[in-house]
Amino acid sequence: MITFGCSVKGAAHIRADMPCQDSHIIQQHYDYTILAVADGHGSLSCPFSQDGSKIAVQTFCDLMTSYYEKNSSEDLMNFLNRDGKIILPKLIEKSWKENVVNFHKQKSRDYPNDNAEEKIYKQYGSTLLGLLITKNFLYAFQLGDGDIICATQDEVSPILNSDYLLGVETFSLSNKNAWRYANNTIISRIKNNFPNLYILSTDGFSNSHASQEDFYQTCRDYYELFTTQQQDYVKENLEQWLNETSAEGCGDDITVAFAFEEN
Amino acid sequence: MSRPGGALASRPVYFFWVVDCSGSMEGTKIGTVNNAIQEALPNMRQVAEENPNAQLYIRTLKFSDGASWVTDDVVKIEDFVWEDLTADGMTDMGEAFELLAGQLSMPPMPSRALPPVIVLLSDGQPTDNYKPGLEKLLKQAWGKKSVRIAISIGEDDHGVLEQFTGNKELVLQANSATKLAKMIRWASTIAASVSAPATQQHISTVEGETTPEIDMIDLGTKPENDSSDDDQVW
Repeated sequence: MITFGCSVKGAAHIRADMPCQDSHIIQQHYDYTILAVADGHGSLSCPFSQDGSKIAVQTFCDLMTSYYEKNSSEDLMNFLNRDGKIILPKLIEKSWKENVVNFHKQKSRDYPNDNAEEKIYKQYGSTLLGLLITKNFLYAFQLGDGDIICATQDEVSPILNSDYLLGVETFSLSNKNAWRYANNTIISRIKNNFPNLYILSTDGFSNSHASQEDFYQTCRDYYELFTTQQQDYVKENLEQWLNETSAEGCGDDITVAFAFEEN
Repeated sequence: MSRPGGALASRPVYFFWVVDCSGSMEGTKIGTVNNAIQEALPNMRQVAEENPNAQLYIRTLKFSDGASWVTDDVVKIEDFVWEDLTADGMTDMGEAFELLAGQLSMPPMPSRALPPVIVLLSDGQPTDNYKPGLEKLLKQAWGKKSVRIAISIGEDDHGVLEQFTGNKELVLQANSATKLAKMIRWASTIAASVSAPATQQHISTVEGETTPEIDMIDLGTKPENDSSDDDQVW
């Protein structure tokens, strides 16, 4: 499997002298691969959302690794099918919030007088999209805006249909009972349609396109590049292309992570 | 090789001036509205130029006997020209709400737009049945998401305007020409706030949970409604 990704600071953030709020992580192991992207909210009430997004992708990666290493692939798939759709989102939320509080303390940042940790979570608000790819199954998780796309020779389609919110709102890991707003799915890979290209992206990517069809066209074009052995070319130029996309599009931070399987 | 992919575009921001042109607005009030909006336009254009990732569109809705749009469609800020409004007739605010509801449905509003901004200026109470139009407006997905500001011109009873904005903090009181101009100038800057590069945590109440503090788009500091620079008070 070929994997790589890139996060760029948005054109509007460059002008406003704000940091990039996006994060991504890719871990490739012998028989499983984890990808995660996250978008910190960046609003005035979320001054540490850059840290929040980093914690989000790391939390997802650590949890998936832990589950995979402790269980056989088949047992894990059964667990995810049976209980995972609720238990795992709850665990992701809980772990992220615990990690955020620990990080906050490590940084000696102001602690609320009433010990209301909700006030801390909000400052780190972030979305989270993640993908665990194994030989037998695929687990996709999404909380908040962004896209997880699968491109094959037949079609480009979202793996998850996230709850789309108009405007600038999004569901967040910092929400109370955030797990309720998460979407996730387990897909058996018995019948695979190779080659596959999985594309995880934060919402700055799709929002920069004139329409959803234009966004899907971009995904198709990337698929074409990967299937014609041009992945190195994509890797060399990805940062520049994403910078252009933000500058000519919505101006937001953009993160894109790819996982390409030929067979 | 050029960047792969489909067409790129900035996100549209729609800004609506909704102006009471009833008979009581005649004279200084409508004159101040005309002058203040005209004077606000260069700054709106400049701010829009400084943010090329959001395309600002403007449209004006007037209401007195009935309601009507001044232009056939929204106009890009670069091309927008203010046409002076005149005042005469009743206060059919409900009809204005109906027209706004139509504008905010999808289509014509695109789903990828930024939250629209509606600035309502009025010096009195509606003379028609405003409730059906307001309900229709607030039921629209973009109606709910819009940033709604009301400027009350010399009128103390803000009940209807507060129903429109959904937040009494966004009803501004203007008791003089100077104050009115100041409020209009401030309201004209809201489009820039909406276009700022940040997302907002969605707040949703579930039965049994207390309503958390609403995380609003930061609209900057509203002008004070003190009387220090009042000339003629309405």
